[in-house]
Amino acid sequence: MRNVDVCVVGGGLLGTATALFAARRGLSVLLLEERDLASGASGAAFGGVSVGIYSFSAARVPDAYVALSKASLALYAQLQDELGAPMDFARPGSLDPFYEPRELQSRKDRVAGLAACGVDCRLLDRKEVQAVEPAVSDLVEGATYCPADAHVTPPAVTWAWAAAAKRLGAEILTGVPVRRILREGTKVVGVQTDAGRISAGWVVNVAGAGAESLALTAGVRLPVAYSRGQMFVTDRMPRFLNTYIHNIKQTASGTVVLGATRESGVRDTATSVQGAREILGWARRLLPFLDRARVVRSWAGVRMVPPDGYPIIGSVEGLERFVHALMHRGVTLAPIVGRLLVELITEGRTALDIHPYRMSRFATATASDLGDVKETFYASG
Amino acid sequence: MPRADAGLRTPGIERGAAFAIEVDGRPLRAHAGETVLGVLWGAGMRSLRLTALKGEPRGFLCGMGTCFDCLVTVDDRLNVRACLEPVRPGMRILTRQGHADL
Amino acid sequence: MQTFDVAVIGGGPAGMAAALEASGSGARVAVLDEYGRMGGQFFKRAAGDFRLQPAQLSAEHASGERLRAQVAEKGIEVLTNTLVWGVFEDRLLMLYREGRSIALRPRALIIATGAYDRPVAFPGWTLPGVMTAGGAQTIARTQWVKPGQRVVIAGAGPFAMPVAQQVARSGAEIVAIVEATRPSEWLPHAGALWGQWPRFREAFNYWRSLRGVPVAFGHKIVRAIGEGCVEAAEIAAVDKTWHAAAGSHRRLEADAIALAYGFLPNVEIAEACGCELAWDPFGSAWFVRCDERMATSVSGVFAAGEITGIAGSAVAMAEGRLAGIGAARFVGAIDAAEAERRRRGPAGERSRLMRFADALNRLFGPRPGLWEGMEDATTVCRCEEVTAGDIRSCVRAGCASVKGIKDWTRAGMGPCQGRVCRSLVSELLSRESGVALREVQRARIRPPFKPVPFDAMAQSEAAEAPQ
Repeated sequence: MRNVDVCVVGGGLLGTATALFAARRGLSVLLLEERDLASGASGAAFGGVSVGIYSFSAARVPDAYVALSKASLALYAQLQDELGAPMDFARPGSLDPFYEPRELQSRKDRVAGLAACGVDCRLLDRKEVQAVEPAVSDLVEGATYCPADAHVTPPAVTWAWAAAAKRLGAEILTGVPVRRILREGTKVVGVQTDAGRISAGWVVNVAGAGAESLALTAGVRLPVAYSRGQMFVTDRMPRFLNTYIHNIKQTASGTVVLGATRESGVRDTATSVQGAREILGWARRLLPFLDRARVVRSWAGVRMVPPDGYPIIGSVEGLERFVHALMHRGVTLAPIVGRLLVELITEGRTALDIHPYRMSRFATATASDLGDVKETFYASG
Repeated sequence: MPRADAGLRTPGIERGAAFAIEVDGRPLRAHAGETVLGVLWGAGMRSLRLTALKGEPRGFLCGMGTCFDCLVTVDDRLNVRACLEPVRPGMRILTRQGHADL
Repeated sequence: MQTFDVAVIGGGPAGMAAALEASGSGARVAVLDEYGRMGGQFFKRAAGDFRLQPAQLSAEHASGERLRAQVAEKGIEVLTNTLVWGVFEDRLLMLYREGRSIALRPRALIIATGAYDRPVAFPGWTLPGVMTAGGAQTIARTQWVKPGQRVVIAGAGPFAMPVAQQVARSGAEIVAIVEATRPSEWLPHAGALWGQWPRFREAFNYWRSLRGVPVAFGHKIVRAIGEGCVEAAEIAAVDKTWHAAAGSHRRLEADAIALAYGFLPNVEIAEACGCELAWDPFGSAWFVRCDERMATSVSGVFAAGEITGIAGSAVAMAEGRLAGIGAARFVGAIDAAEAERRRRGPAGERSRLMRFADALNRLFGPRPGLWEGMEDATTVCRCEEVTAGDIRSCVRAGCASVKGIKDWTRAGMGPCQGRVCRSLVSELLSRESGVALREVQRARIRPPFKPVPFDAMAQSEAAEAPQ
């Protein structure tokens, strides 16, 4: 029977980040992915790595959460330097537009809160927005602008981290579904696959869309809602965007990626006419230059959203040798979460406080009574 | 360099009404019923664009609108498939500019 | 939103036959075709502005005109220059036409989207002047422009002959027909081939018209040579698996190379409808699975023509009729007994012709050596300029799917959405990873199936709910 220090279940951004940090610590790592790397949300996500953009209706973002995002962005930059180009890491800054004067106050509060956390984020009026981004129309009332925000191509990042982890001795197996988490009493001891059992010192559940059902095999009820995001991409266009907008970016090859819908409870990855009308309709009012483009393809991913919108990170009370993580800002937070999970494994504690993200904060919530998570978010555009 | 061809138009064919189109700023004769590709290829122009990454010349592969190799700019419309686009009098065509590599 | 009993996607031989049959059964029928004129590939012709002599018309011209006229006089709604850009639940079709994105929800759907020439990669294949045989035929027939002054046609099977004839008529010199098989290989299939006297007569006529054209049997194209465009073709002798024999390479002076290595079916619309596909090991492609009534695995959706199997225009038209009957029966325009009565003719014709079609596929389908041209430096994804070497590295690094390769290299992300490179990428993935070609995970073509202008798609008509 195979025996490893750490068995990571899930081959997306979270899984490959965890595998990379574990391998760096000299642990023996096996990552198991049921399909191919980045075949879930990590293969569909927009790719924003942002300290300034949050989809919460409440103005003030908790300082700790801002700190988490900041640390993650810094870690991206560091990994980019250490691993080289393949992450498609660009740092053009982000714009988060708003369209009604009545949104101004909450944006001011948001910016003040971010500033207090040391984030360079400014509130721009329409003219200032158009100075930064001339292609933006008068539809905007204003925007928050974070010049240091970044974006990546999530699947490219996933593959880059996987390659780096493998170079350090991690083993990554795709096409291997994990059927159950194996326990002996309160101790997790490994996983069961179709090809046999894996014995592991620790098991990490970062299986994304499969995390909920996998958790159940260990008796863990992960409270999570799902939300589909439809995305669209154009053919190559002459360069006209300087920053990226929440959520529109122009890639290095000149194509424009647009997203994303927020369809509560939808778990398939089909795209729809209604999604096209919503996203493309908004985008062309915001950026009239897009009328010169053609749409080449659409796709969709499913977000995993814990009930209050904040991540679930850490261990589970009453269960040993097990950690998990689930969130919908997985692109931004993947590096820091990967490192935090490995700190938990190797040291039993983390450099940043993850207490706010414990699953037990949902003590009364089970998978079945999540309510409408959509309330917590404001619609994008 | 693409060979300067005498042209590949079949002689002795009764074509539609003749008119002028503009290709890369120069006038070229075309006929009603022809496509942009037919006119350009017939005039001996083999390279319709240079690729965005490596600057390689491309002509056409499938001739039926499936491969997206034969992209040209027509009257400021980018990424137009020359093999499907009927020519019209006064049309302005820019080659070398498929995939918007302006 | 318009309503029709039956919508036929594709106005080629299968589509027109289907529309006529369904309409003749009393159903209200629409034919959707992305080109400016019905006829598909088989019945393609020069625009009416050309005033051609009878000797300049193709052998198919008269039949094509007759079918178009029949469709016109039957009151079938013909929507040309109409792209089906997406298919959604309950047979909702989204069309791009006349600058607008509109909805159409027929009660029954017939998919007859045909096929396109199989791409084959080898060093130099991206040079201007390398084209498919279909592309050479198109530019010669519809534009009366030579594909080149000196044309090499390289492929396997009989399609090279009508293409050579059309190219010769356009005034080009056919330097050689380079046929991968040898006549001795045809003998085992003689039984199946023999029963088709009309096909033989056709072949003989082409043969006579091409007298004097050199034919190199048992050879394939290995390289296109030139600076900026094709200046020469390099061919080599091949064994029974189409691997090149060392030392057999020859250079032919040419400025055009037309590739005639078979066809790939356009199954994306059927796939988007949820239709099951079936793998054909001889044709090395996924086709739409149908029963003998041309019904797919999805209720109310029928398929006809090359998407059910590469079998030529006569089979396509027989299948079109069967699909038309099936659709008419499905919407209740005719009863079961009438449907059975009408099926007998086309069903019989189809089975008579299938033996011949199967034999052609077995004999001339792609063989493993065809892919050895994908050297590391050879471009595989033409849109995104990804080489075979890039893809091999990616697979060695652990990519196990076409999507994974797409994510890593961008192969398949360009405007053709992988139509050209997908089969090549799958072949590379299969070889590098040892996974059988039929097990290679497919990457689906997502809507819009072909690019749609941004403003039109943004303002797409909202569909009414299904009845």
